[in-house]
Amino acid sequence: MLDLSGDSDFKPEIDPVNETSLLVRISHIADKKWPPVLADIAQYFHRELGQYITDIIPAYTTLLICFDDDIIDLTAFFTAAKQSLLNWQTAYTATTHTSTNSEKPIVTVPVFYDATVAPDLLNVAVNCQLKLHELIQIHSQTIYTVYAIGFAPGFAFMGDVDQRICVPRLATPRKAVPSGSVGIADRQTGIYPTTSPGGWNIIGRSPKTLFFPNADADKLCSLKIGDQVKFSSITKAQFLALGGREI
Amino acid sequence: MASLKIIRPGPLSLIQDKGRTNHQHLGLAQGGAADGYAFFWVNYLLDNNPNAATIEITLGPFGVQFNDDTVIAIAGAEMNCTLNDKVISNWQTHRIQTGDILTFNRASEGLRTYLGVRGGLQTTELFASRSMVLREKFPGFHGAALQKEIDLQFPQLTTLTTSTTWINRSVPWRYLPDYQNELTLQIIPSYQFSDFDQAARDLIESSRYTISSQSDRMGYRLSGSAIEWQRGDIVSEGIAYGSVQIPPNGQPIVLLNDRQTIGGYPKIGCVTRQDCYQLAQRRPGQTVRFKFASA
Repeated sequence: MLDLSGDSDFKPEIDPVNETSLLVRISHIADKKWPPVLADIAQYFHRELGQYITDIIPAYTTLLICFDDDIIDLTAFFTAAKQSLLNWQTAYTATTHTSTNSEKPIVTVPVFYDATVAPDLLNVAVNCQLKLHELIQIHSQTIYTVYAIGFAPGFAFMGDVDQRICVPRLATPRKAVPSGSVGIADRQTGIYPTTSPGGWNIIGRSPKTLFFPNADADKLCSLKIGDQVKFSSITKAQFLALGGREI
Repeated sequence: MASLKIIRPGPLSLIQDKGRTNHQHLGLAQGGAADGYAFFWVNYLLDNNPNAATIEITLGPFGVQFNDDTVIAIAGAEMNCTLNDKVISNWQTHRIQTGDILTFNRASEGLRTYLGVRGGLQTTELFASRSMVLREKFPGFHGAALQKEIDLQFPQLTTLTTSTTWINRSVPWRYLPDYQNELTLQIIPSYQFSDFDQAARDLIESSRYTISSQSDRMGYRLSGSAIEWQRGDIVSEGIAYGSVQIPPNGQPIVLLNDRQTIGGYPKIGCVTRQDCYQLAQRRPGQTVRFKFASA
């Protein structure tokens, strides 16, 4: 776990945002070290105040904590939440820490990096002045942290993308990006879990399904905030064998 | 199980309960009845579980035929409802016999009416809720608005006695809302409120905003004085119900039930829950104002 005691970027705050939600902010600066910390705080809150909580939405540097005000009022929940945050901080900083990243298992996502399934692959290579194999190598050698899940069910925002292959969102989003498409937007990369509109630069397609609408609650999504993800380049044959579809 | 059949689906009729809990971290919208006030009354009048599923009828017309006896409640926009061609009152329960036809006309004021049955509709759940969030495009029952010929189930009616409280029960007149008046939306100052300058805060309070036709269950887009934000995108964060988002064009958006779960545009605060419910009964072309709630 991260050593927070000397980290001046770690500035936990908690404030109500409406009658039934509080926002916990742990830093003003996004960094891949925060998502695992947010995941830990979320877990702690679920354990301590779970009976009152209706949702916790972690993202980048914050947690939105929603509660049921039929069973507890804002003042009482805010008081309890402030105390829980302090208790969490005490418990977290009291434990001896090693780097978060080395503790977590890495989720490997197979990706077929090919222009037949990735309409922006060649453009991105050209714009970044890289050969195709260099672009693929750079994208697939980074271990990414899941910063947030949102925009669409199961869509995981991951970072940080190597500066050499960062490209801004498309000026005009596409009306339909096929499910499994792997994209880049600035320093983030992500996989579209279902076909949806989207403005990210599509550089590959994964045959792996990440969102399972009919599964039990804890198995709906393969990825969660703080997870470590690595992409691995596969051949067309492997892509098709894993259930990948070219259309 | 008892049932009813949709005979006239109307422009947008959906099953809604209170919405989903504990799924927003996966990017799944909260969903739920857009006018939580009228929805609450429907279930309260029927002594239902407060989370019982109803039909949210948007604008109308709409029509159903009942295959079994039940007791219903209707509340929300005035749709001049008829039961077998006899006009019946809004904000009230009504006894239904097998074969009865219930017709809702186009709303004369307001936008959404809730039809509840005793015991609640027993439609399939998705993510532990009966609410439909169409924009998520899940296949099957939750993927499309209610269609003609669809049968919806509900519990068989238990024996009614003279002491049954929920027959011809109506909402006291003093609780009935006015959907025609110009709504003032109370904003709880929060999120990036303190980073908006005083001029921006004064401007949003002194302006009249028109509801645009781009408004829906995700949010109400407003046209009027542009609210300035000089600081660029913020780090994406969870979006609470009622958030007043200020996008780059400065035109405020009040985010409602089907909103995206996280986003990177600044928010000047959140509209109170009751004012969100009232907003959900306003139509494009109507105007609203804002006022910051005091701490």
